[in-house]
Order: sequence, then C-alpha cells, then structure tokens
Amino acid sequence: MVAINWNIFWIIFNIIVLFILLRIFLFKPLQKIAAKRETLIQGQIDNATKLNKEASTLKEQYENSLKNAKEESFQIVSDAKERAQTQYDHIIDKANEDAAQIKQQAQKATEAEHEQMMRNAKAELADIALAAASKVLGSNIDAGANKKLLDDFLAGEESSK
Amino acid sequence: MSLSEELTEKLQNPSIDIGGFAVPQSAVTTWGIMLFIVLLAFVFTRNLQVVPKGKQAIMESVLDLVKNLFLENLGERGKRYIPYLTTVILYLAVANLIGMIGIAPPTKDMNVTAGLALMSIVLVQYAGIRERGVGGWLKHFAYPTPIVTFMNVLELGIKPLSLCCRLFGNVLGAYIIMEMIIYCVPAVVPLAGSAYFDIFDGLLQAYVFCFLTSIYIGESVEEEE
Repeated sequence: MVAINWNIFWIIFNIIVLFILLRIFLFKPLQKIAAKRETLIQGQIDNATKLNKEASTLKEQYENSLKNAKEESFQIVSDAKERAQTQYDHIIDKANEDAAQIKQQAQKATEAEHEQMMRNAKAELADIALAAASKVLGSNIDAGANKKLLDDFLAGEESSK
Repeated sequence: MSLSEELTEKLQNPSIDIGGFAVPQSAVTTWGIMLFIVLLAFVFTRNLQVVPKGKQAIMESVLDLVKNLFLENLGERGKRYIPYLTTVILYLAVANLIGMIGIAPPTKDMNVTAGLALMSIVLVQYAGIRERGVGGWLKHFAYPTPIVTFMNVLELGIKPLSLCCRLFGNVLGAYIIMEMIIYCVPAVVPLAGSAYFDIFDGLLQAYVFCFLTSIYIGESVEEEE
C-alpha cells in the first residue's frame, strides 16, 4: 500500500505527456489569441493616439489661420480706412478749391458786369446830356463837336472826382 | 466479507495487464483523466475569438484565476512555469474528484504523489539553475547565512517528501473513510462525506500541492538583495 517502486515513472511520463498535449490544445491557442488581442488593443490605442495628435495639429493650424484671418481683416479694415481718409481729404480739398474758384469767377463776372453797366450808364448819360444841351441851345450846331465837348466834360468830372 | 478484509483489498494497487505489460491501475485511471482533460481543452478552445464569449469566456476567466494564483508566488521571473503548474492542478483536481463517480483516485497510489513531488522538486532546482547558473544555484544553499546550508540541503528531501505525503495521506485517508461510510451506510450519508472529502478536501489538496510548488519555484528564482 505504501510503497514507492518503479511505477513512479508512470505518473512522471503521464504528466509530461499531459503537459505537452495541453500545450498543444490549450496553452498555445490561448497564447495566440491573447497575443492577437494585445495586438488589436495596442493597435487601437496607437490609432487613438495618432488621431489625437492629428486633431491637435489641425486645431493648432486652425487657430493659426484664425489668428491670421483676424490680423488680415484688421489690416484690410485699416487699409480701407486709410484709403477712405485720403479720398475724403482729396474730395474736401477739391471741393474747397472748386468753391474758391467759383467764388472768384463769380466776383470777376460781377465786376465785369458792373463795369459794363457803368459804361452803358455813362454812354446813356452822355446821350441824355447831349439831348438836354441841344434842347437848351435850341439848335444842334455840330453833333460831333457836342459829343466831344461832353466827353471832355465827363472825363474832367471823373478825374476831378 | 468483513470491513477490514474489503478495505485491505481495496487499498491494494493492482496492476492491469495490457499487452504483456503490467500497468498500475493508477496509470490507467490517469490516462482516462488525461483524455478527459485534453478533450475538454479541445472543446473549449474550438474557434477562439478575440472578444471572448460563452464557454471561451468561462474557460479564460478560470485559467486567469489559476494563473493569478500562481503569479503572486512565482513573480515575473517564474512566469514561464505557470503552464506546468496549471497542468498539474487540472490533473490533481480531476484526480481527486474522480472518487465521486466511484473510481479509485490515482492519488491514493503513493507512486503518483511521489512522482509529482519529484517532478516539483526537480523543477524547483531547474528553475534555480536556469535563473542563477550552477554556481549561483549552489551558492544559494548558503543563503541567507552559511549556517543554514545544512538545512537548505535537507530541504531538497523534505520539500518533496512533505508534498508527496500530504497529498497521499489526505487522499488515502479520505478514501478509507469514504469506503467505511459506504460500507456502513450506503445511502445519503456518503453524499455529505463525499462533498467534504472529495470536493472540499480534494480540491484543497490539489491547490495546496501546486501552491507550495509555486512558492518553492518563486523562492528559487527570486532576486537576492
């Protein structure tokens, strides 16, 4: 009953065989599937990390372009403002200039008209005076001489003024 | 037949003649157990999926449980011995439970437990040599102080002896008591006895045997300060 003999090798042999069989039918397949699982999970983690990285790069890019766009828009607005100011100044200057010119022209025209009027008035006055003088004298001696006389008179009057 | 006569007869380890070879009964039973375990493994590893489902999930979680049990004692360096320990614990669990279906457990043959203990101690020494080299393995006998060298050498015999006798004694004792209970009260009572001696004690002894082996391997491969 309690005896150790050569039969001890039966169990050693059997356990080794069982170990080899389990290695083939249990441990190896399990190891394979575990390795596959690990690869899959690692792949997913790697993929997620990659996507994350890509997303952050994109975000940075977008932020940069957004910043650029802002700067650009500021630039555009300020450029436009500047241009508008220049144009505004130009228009105002031109308007001022035009106004001054028009005013000057108007003045000149007025002066010219005034002179014309004065001349007309003088001529008319001379005719009237001549008519009056010839009426007074009763006779018209010489129209040309009278006219000369009157002109002289008027000139004398003017210069004495 | 009296009780003692029947017990004496049942405690013999008869040989069975197979093709002129006298094969011990325990070996024949072991073949049956091996066939059962391998078939089970074959069925459970059919069509393995990356995402475990159903029977695969059950098998994987059971094997994971066993693995973690050993991993604690073995440490990272002893990881490679887990498959062997799993093999032994599966064999012992089935061997110790087999009494429930009326087959004499092969572990009641002392040659079986002695053989397993011998393999365990050889594996422990192999693990030590593999980890430290022959010189380091020899030096390890004088660890932690040279005074204990004698005891460490003695342990080479004590460890397998205790492994062998603990398992053998438990199974044999359980077997004898169960036979006596069945002889005296053939119904109902053997059920309670079987629940304790076969299921509880049987599985406990299978666990203890492999647990101790894993501790010994862990000790022999652990790093010294």
